[in-house]
Amino acid sequence: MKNCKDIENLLPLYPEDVSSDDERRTVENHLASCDACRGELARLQKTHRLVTDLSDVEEPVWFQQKIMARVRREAQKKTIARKWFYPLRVKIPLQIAAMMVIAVMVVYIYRAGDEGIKEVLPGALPTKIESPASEPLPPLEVTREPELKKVPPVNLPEKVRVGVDAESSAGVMRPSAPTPVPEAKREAAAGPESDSQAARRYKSLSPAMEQTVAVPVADEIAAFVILRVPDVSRAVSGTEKILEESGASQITRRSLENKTTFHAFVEAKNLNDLLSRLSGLGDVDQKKIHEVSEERIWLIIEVTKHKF
Amino acid sequence: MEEKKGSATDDDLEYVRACQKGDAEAFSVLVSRHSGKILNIVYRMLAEYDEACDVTQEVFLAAFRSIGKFKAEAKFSTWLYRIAVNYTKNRLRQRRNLSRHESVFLDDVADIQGACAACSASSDAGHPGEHMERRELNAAVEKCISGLDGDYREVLVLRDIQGFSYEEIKTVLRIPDGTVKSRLSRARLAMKHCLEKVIGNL
Repeated sequence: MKNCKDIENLLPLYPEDVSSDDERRTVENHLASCDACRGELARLQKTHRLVTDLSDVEEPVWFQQKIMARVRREAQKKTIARKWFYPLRVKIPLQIAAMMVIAVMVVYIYRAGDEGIKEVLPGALPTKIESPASEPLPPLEVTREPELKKVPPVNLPEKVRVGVDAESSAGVMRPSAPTPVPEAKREAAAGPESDSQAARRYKSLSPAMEQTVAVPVADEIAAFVILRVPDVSRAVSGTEKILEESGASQITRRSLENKTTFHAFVEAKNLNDLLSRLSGLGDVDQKKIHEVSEERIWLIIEVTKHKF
Repeated sequence: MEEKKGSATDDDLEYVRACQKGDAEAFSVLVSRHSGKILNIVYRMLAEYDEACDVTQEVFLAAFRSIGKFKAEAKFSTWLYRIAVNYTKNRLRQRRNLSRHESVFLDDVADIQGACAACSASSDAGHPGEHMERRELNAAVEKCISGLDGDYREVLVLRDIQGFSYEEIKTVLRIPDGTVKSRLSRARLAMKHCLEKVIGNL
C-alpha cells in the first residue's frame, strides 16, 4: 500500500479519469481508509471549483473593429506590394522599380520632343509615385536651362546608372544631350524592348499608380458606424438605399455570418444627414469621426443584429 | 490523424481560405469568433487587462500576416491559440527583463511545488474562506494563478479555466501528453497550497 505522499500526487488528476486503472484502484482503496487524503481531495476539489468559477473578462468596446482596422491596413500594404512587385515577376526594391518607370518616361518624353514636355510633365510625374524617386523631379525643370550639368550620360554601367538617381536621368532629359535613345532604353526596360513597348509599359503602369492613390489608407478612416437592428436583411437594403441617396460612391457590401459591412466614400457634408437617416433603421453607434477637412470620407458601416 | 479529423470539421476553414485568396474582410468573422477567447487566455496568463488587449490585437495581426502559411494540419483555432500562447510568453519575458530588479512575484517563485509566492506575501491576511466576499475570493484565486510558474500557469489556464481537452493542450503547447498531465497535477497542487495560505481553511 502506498503512503499518503504518493497518493497526494495522484489526487489532482483523479477526478478526471485520466489516470490508469491501476492508479485509480490504488487511490480508491487508499481513500476508503484514509481521512487525511479524503480531506486533501476535498480541498483540491474546492480549489478546482474556485478556479473554474472565475468569470470571463469582456472585450472592450470597439475591440473587434480596432483589430479589423489594423488588419485592413495590413491588407493594404500587401495589396500595394503585390501591385508593385508581382507584375514584374521579380522582387526588386521599390526605388529601382520607380527609377525604371522614370527612365521609361524619360524615353517617352524625349521622344515626344520639347513641346511634349510641357503637356506630359504635370500629369505624368508628380505626387502619384510614392517613393523617393519622385523627389528628383525639380531638377527636370532645371535641366532645361542650357548652362547646366556636365553629367556624362553615356557609357555608365547599368547598375550605376540606376543607382545614380535623377541627376543623370535628367541629363538624358536635356534635349541637346548626346545620349542615344537606345542606351536609355536598355537601362529602362532591362531587356530588348522597343520604344513603343516601353511606352506601353509606362502607360500600363499609370492606372495602377492612380489606384494606389485612390485606395484609402487606414489612417484616413474617418467614420466607423455600427448599426444594430432587429432585422439585418431589411436594414441592409435600407442602408444601401440611404447610401445611394446620399451620393456615396464606391459602395461595396460584404455579408459575413450575421453581419454585413459596407464600405463607401461619402461627401463630408452629407455625413450628418446620412447618420441621422441611419438611426431611423436602428441603433447607431459611431466612432472615430474626425472633423475632416477632406471633402470625401471613407465610411465603414457594420449592420449587425441587435443584442437584446 | 486526429488533427486531420479536426480540420475536416473546422468551421473556420471557409473564411481562412477566403483570407488566403486576399479577402481581408473574411478575417472579421474569424476575429469575431475567437477574439473573446483569445483575450481571456491572454488575460489569465498576464493578469493585466490593457496589456492583454494589446497582445490580443498583436496575435490577430500576426495570424493575418501569416495566414498564407496556415496549412490546415490542425484546426485554425488551435493554430491561433498557439500564436496567442507564444506572444503571451514573449510579453512575459519582456516584462521580466524590464522589471528584473523590482519583480514582485512573477519571477522569484521558489515554492517547492514550483509555485505561489503571492501566498506567502498575503498569508497573514488569513480570513477564513467562508467569510470572504466573492470578489475577494476571486482576487485571491487570480493572485495565486499569476503566482504560478509560467509552464504551470498556461496548462491550468487552458484546462481549468478555458476547458481545453488534453489533446488540444498537447497540440497548442507542443508538449507530450505526460508533460501536460504532470504540469497540470503540480499546478493544481500549487493552487491548493496557495489558496490555503491566502484564504485560510478551504
